[in-house]
Amino acid sequence: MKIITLTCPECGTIVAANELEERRIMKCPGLECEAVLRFDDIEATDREYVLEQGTNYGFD
Amino acid sequence: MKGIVLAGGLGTRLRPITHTGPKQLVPVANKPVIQYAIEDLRDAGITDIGVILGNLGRDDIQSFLGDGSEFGVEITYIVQGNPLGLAHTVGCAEEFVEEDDFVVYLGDNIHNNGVTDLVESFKTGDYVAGIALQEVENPGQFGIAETDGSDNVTRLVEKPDNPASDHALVGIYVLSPAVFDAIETIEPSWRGELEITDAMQELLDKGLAVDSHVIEGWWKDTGKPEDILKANRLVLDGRPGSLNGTVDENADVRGHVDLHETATIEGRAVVRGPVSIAADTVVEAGTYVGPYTSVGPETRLSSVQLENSVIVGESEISSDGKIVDSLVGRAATVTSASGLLPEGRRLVIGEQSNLKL
Repeated sequence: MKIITLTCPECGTIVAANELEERRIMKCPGLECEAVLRFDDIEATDREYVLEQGTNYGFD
Repeated sequence: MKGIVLAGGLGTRLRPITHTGPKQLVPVANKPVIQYAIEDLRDAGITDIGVILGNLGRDDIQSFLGDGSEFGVEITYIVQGNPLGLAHTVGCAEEFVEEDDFVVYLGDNIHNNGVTDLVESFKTGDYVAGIALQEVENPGQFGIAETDGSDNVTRLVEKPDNPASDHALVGIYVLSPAVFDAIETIEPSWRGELEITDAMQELLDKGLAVDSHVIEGWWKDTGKPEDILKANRLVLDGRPGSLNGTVDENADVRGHVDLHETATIEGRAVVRGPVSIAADTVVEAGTYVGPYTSVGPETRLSSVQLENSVIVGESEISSDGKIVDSLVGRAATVTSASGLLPEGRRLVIGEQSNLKL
């Protein structure tokens, strides 16, 4: 199974795509980072893969 | 080489302690469990560490570890979210790891001999992975590794009915980036998780070499209250003790006792090591603190007999009874019901508490 993540361009904190899919938009969880991370920041093909794999990622 | 410390999981077996904090911050000998992992990696020369966070206790762990500078390391946080298996956890770290080899360390495990030997063993050959093993008495309850005469792993089996080996995987791995391709080829197991053993087996099936290293000394998974107490005993046994705090001349203190410089043992208190007493804690007169006890910060012990227990901290314990084999969560209060009417015990207990009265 492909594991897809997004790296915050501001602080380097990495967030799994399943976490971003669940929240769609979130404040970067990095220490003192104010960046906003979006599921849409992930490449379209990877987003599609995550959504196709919903059951494996713990959501449907 | 980089390091990855796993700090996710729900900590269900440690409830109610984990209702209010992550299991990786439960103290053993007055040091959060995850700190042992960070220090083991640092002592092996690994200072670039990714800490994997789950859904629970993220803020607490980040607040404790910060950017890692207090521990002599540099920390990058990786948010896994839902617990989807160890291989998923490792996969989340791919961008952090890049082309380096890396050590995976479970953040709720403690080893008394660190990871240096495992890393050195991995470096001796052309391996894509290395696993730490330990001899166990009940191999059927663990993931088991079968090896050839040169300590190369030939097969991994999860909880086998008829184990061909008594060497169990203890939750420390040295991995190369080759593992990411293996993870991409596996699917979730029957329990819905991406299993690291499946990824390792994939490496073996491709004919790649996986090293094994039998670790010396003890290893403890601290997933349950009794494990915390056992780990506390093991760690305290190895401590020389250091009486930095205030000890009244009429106190009776023997054995190895770690006493923080701001802690106090008053006159007519009895302390028998090995014991650890943290900052701003007071052991009052008439109190007995027996072997294998750790008392966290800002705690007051009064007229209680306490043995083989872990008090997390910020507590008041003044019961006139004897408390043994106990794990007491932060800011819990245990006082005496003596003299109160009607006679009887008075309890305010959280969900999934466990009392033996």
